[in-house]
Amino acid sequence: MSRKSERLVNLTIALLATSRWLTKSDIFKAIDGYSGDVQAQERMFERDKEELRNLGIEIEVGTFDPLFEDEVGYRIRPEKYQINIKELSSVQLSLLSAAALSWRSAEVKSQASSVLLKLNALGISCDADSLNIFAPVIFSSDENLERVLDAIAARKMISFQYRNSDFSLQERVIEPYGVGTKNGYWYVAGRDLDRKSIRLFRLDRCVALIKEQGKAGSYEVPGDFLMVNHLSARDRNRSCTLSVRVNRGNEIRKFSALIESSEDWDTLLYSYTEDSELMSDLLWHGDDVKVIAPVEIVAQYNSILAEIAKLHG
Amino acid sequence: MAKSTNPIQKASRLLDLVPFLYSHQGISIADLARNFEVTESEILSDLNTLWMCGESRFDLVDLEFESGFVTIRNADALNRVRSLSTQETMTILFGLDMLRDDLIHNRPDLVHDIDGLRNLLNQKMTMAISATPAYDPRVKQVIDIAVQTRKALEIVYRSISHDELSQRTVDPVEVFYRDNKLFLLAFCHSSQSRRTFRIDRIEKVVLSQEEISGGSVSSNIDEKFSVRIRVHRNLRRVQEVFGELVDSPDESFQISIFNKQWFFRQVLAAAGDVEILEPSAWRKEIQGAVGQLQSASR
Repeated sequence: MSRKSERLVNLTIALLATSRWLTKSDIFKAIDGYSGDVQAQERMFERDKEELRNLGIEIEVGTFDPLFEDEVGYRIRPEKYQINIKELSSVQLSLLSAAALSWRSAEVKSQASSVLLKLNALGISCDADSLNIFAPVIFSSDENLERVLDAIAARKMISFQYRNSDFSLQERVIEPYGVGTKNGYWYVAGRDLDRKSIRLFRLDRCVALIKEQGKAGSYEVPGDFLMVNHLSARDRNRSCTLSVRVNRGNEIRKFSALIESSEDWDTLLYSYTEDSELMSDLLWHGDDVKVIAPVEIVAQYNSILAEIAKLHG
Repeated sequence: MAKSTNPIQKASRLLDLVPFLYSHQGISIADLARNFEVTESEILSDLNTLWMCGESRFDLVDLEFESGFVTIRNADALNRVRSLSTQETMTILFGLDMLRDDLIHNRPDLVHDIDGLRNLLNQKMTMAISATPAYDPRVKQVIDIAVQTRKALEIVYRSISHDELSQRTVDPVEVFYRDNKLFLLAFCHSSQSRRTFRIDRIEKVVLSQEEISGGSVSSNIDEKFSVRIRVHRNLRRVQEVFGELVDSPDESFQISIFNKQWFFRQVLAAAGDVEILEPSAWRKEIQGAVGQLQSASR
């Protein structure tokens, strides 16, 4: 196992230290561990190159002589390899630490702590306290979050078993475009290859581990993709008139305008997103909320009551 | 916490070890392991591997660690702090996005710095990331201050089962998260016991001038009911409300309920998806409740 890590480190050193392009044969000569016939060596090298790129290390490919393009060479530019934080102010460095410190979940936290280690290696003390702010709290106990981040970083397709609303399981294959969290849930958005459109999936509804598929860099994310748009609150563009008992219906009142008030009941104009959610919200409140208008909503409400009564009759 | 390492992760750590060791010459193996969040034997294995690396077979990294303290020489090519990987950048961007929501309310002067930082890190990735806190940052900030300064809090709390706001004085103990929600554990003066409050249900919070008193601590044990239900539709939604449902042959599920009122509200809100099978008294009760709603609605 350490043979492979050793080879990767030696490859990085060789490509960083060189001032000229290194050919494959230079590399196989200088670095231990590329064994077997030429094809086996080349396969190992291709894999190693891919692994280093996945670690975020940029390997440049170039030629010695523009007239003879068959002999390509490789190198890593130190200025690209190295972190560039000269542009960051001390306030921004503190914000960076606060952002890293906000992670609470073990899996992804290691990414955040390695950022702090890098700052530490630069001799920058990570002092979020100096700003006199409290770091926010980000949590996730879902192993799939890290897998999705890896896939997005490498632009690799992913597949997973997804729990549909009728509880059936379905295999989904997507090109992941973005990740987000809202109300404590994590979501991945991406192009669903079967449905040929951008879909949103809640990570806790993936029943097993997400798998990567195909090669890195296999798709482009559309330039106008914005994760925040896929998680924004839906419009409350429908409304109905409700009668709500005084001091009750606290959630409903947040999205309502008061029409009139009597001693025990308030009449409210309530804005909501979808009829089915409206029904659940009304029923949850029991006899503290009555529907007044429109008639279709009243009828829907009554038919659900009849259904529940019949179920339990 | 120690994590398992594959060769790629190990290589990545070896690359990060070099600049860290250069800036921390003479660090103890124990401290090094703690900083990299791995075991001491893992760090020793790293050092042994690194010791075999170098620009050529005759020009290896010069590492000294037999004494239990580590020094490094002759690894100039690697003495560079690596730029952030895409994954690292994404985790930072999540933190910054959350922080931005916090600071808009609490420190608007820093929002400009956050936006500048996000663009410098990776403008494109900024578009692929979105994070909003599962709580009101203004509420959390007051709670954080109370925990830190050991002050009591006056809160207005929206109960999970009653549609009621209650005013309480509480002594905060700790903030923790469970099942994607953030909670406050606190000693409640009115119930004289330790209670757990969901932070997203705290409607108002004010710092009290009172220091936290000792307070006798008794924990509150909820009654537990066993209920059998049948699910007619929308099984996923029902499971997300009631928790893991264990299959039984006749398509009914046995679940444990800690709060009857909460359960009745959820059965009504399920709008016909859920039928109570047992206890039969509860079946009658829900029927009665529905009957009342029907007559009120006529």
